[in-house]
Amino acid sequence: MILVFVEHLDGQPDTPSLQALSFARTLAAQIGGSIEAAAFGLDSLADTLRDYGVSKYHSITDDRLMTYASEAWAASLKQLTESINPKVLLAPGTIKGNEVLAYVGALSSLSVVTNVCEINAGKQWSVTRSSWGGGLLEEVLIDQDLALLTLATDTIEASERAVDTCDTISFTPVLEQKHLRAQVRSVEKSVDEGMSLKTATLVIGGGRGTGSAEGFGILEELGEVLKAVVGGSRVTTNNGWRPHAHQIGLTGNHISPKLYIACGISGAIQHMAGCKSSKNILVINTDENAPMFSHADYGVIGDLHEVVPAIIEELKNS
Amino acid sequence: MDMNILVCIKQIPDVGGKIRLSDDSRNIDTKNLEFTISPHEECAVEQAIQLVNQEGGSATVLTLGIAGSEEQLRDSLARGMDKGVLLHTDNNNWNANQTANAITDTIRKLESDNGIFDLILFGGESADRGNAQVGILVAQTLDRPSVNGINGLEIAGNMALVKRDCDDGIENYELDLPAVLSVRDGMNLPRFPSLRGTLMAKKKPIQIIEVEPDETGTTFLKFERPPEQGIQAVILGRGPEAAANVVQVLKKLELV
Repeated sequence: MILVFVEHLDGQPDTPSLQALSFARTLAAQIGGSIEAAAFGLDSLADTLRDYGVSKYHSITDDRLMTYASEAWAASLKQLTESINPKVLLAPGTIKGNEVLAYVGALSSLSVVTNVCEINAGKQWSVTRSSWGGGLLEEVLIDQDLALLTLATDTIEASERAVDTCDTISFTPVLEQKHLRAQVRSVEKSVDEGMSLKTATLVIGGGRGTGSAEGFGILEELGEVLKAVVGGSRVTTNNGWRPHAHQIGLTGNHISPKLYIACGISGAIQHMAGCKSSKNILVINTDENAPMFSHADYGVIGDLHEVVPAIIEELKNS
Repeated sequence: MDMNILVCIKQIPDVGGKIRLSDDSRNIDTKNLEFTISPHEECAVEQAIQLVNQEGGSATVLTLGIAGSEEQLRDSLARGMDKGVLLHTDNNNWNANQTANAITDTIRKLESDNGIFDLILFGGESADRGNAQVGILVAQTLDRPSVNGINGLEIAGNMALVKRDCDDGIENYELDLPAVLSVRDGMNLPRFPSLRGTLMAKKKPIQIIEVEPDETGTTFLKFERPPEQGIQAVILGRGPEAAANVVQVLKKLELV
């Protein structure tokens, strides 16, 4: 049996959790057994979970667990696994999913494999995980009775396959005060600032080639004409040319626009980790050997300070 | 309040746009490459330097790696850290549990000599393996509170006030010190080493400790390349003359 840790937002499982449930089905096809799910603080998930192939929902309840507490959540999941003995505990590879599983591993003296994208479950389990921000894959052998895994987000699309019934079973963990020493005290809702890098249809990115904070002026101008959001590579945020919140890359925003126009960006692996989900990439760069050209659909060989003004001019004339 | 802070960093090759593998696919081919540390870790180092400048105390930087990792310790010392610790190994393929065990053993030794670390900082995840595990494993073994991937930190008396960006908003935590925190890029703007700092760093102490990995339930086998996308850009032109073709592409994609 595979147990999936599910996170929820506004009363429904979030997308990474639905992806984890879908991944659990492909895993169940290899190792057999059913899929069960566990979540905190919500009784009414069974209907949705049934649509995604879950036959038992363990609703973990304790008055002290109304807000997130990594250790307490992990201690509860550990106790649940000891009581129902799954072969796999799978979580979405989110901040919380990775954090909770790390604690489960620490509490159980087991190893965790994070950001998994493929599993070959034979006599011995070999697991492929995403490494270097997706720039490399890593093959890892697991030799444990309980495999603790998190799924790299967006490895597969969430898809429904309903089972007949999903029973809800309440589980009450035994918690100590120390499990609650890192608990969320309050959550400030993020203010919606209109178009963001994460949701924009058209994104313009500036790299080292912009040369300075002022060098972004021309990209801002193109952004206004095209109603696009402007971001920068880590070089530009690290030099203080752009605020960190505008960073596109492994340690910044992960974007997925219809078109990404990358200006003066060489295409380092850490940058690609943030923009690889773009449907189309257009690169403007003086160096035709820049790696960015081998990730892009369209390229212009030239200096962004000359090419971008010409594009603005052309747009105004057409 | 004087603060005793430890920051754990990791040397990684600055791979640029393409990663070359060794013949056995177990390592990155680092010939002709320079080395660096992860962006998150640069912010952890910066945070420690700022806190010690504000509160007084001492900041130690630690790494587990091959002999050449000393270069990254010196870089952190040049930025303003006070002393370094190198956990020396010939093999870079340690998993998160092995790394955490060696670091925890060392922390216990360092703390029995010099008093406890009020704060132990990590990067939220390394830019290479990105396991996002080591900080939590260390915290759990030392029995200290921990939050992974934080975006804001303030010290108030014996408490760490922590902020973390999540899907549902910004989470606030209050942790008792001593605590273990791993930080994310963007929490501050890391300084670059000054010339004076670089000269001073040469005289700062680095303690070298030999370490061996223990056995754990997972074993790293090898790296693989992700399937090639096979894309090669259609060149729309050179210089400003390409503008008309760019606009054609924008029209084709229905963006104008």
